[in-house]
Amino acid sequence: MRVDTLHFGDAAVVRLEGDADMATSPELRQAVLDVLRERAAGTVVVNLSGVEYIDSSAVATLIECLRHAASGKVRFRLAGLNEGPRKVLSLTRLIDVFEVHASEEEALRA
Amino acid sequence: MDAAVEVRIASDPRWLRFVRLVIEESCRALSAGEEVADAVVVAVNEAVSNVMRHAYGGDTTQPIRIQCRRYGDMLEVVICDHGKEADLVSQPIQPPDELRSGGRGLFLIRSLVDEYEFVRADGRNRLHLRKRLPQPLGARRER
Repeated sequence: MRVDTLHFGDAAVVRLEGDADMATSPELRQAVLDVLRERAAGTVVVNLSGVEYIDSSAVATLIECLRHAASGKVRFRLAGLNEGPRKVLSLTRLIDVFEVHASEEEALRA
Repeated sequence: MDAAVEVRIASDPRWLRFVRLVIEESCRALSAGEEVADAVVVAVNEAVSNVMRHAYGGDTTQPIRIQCRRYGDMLEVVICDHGKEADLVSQPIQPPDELRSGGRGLFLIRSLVDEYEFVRADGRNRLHLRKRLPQPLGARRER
């Protein structure tokens, strides 16, 4: 999995590319939690447009990140969900738990 | 039993992507259709992840055997390991809307397959996952 982290003022974007499964979830977790720990406020966007597959371990990681953000004053958003990840989040009935945006740009503007 | 494919992997999560590709291609070869393939790929990924995490406790060197075949009007995937007993069937199912960090794999498996069967015999775990294949257009149901 490729993980790129970009900073825009008080916002940060974690761009992911590849499959998010039990093998790669630790990388995802580390990258997003690092960004969350750096800030007490602002916005963190996880851009999943380069991810075609997520499994339950990646879902668990995203939930952990959401809880971490909610414990402070950080807005946590997902962007660019492809069909596969969207279906897994829907099946686990978590799609509405996250703030989901069509694109990274929209998530940053919201 | 119709055409089958069998792969053996080490219990290392780095093989999960390979497993997904094998299952996807097997579904294609068995004319399972995209909807069945998508569901079975997710269910098998979760089941194999469970073997790695629970049956083998994170030991990445143990063997896992995965078979995929047509079984009557079902597609069947059988996952075998010799780890500690990890019975999916008797596990309590977690309410999926809870904001807990883990435990959704089992829910996904149960949501996505039509039948599952766990067998513990001779020190081995064997999990059967079955998904009904779509009827060809114009086919008459024999059930």
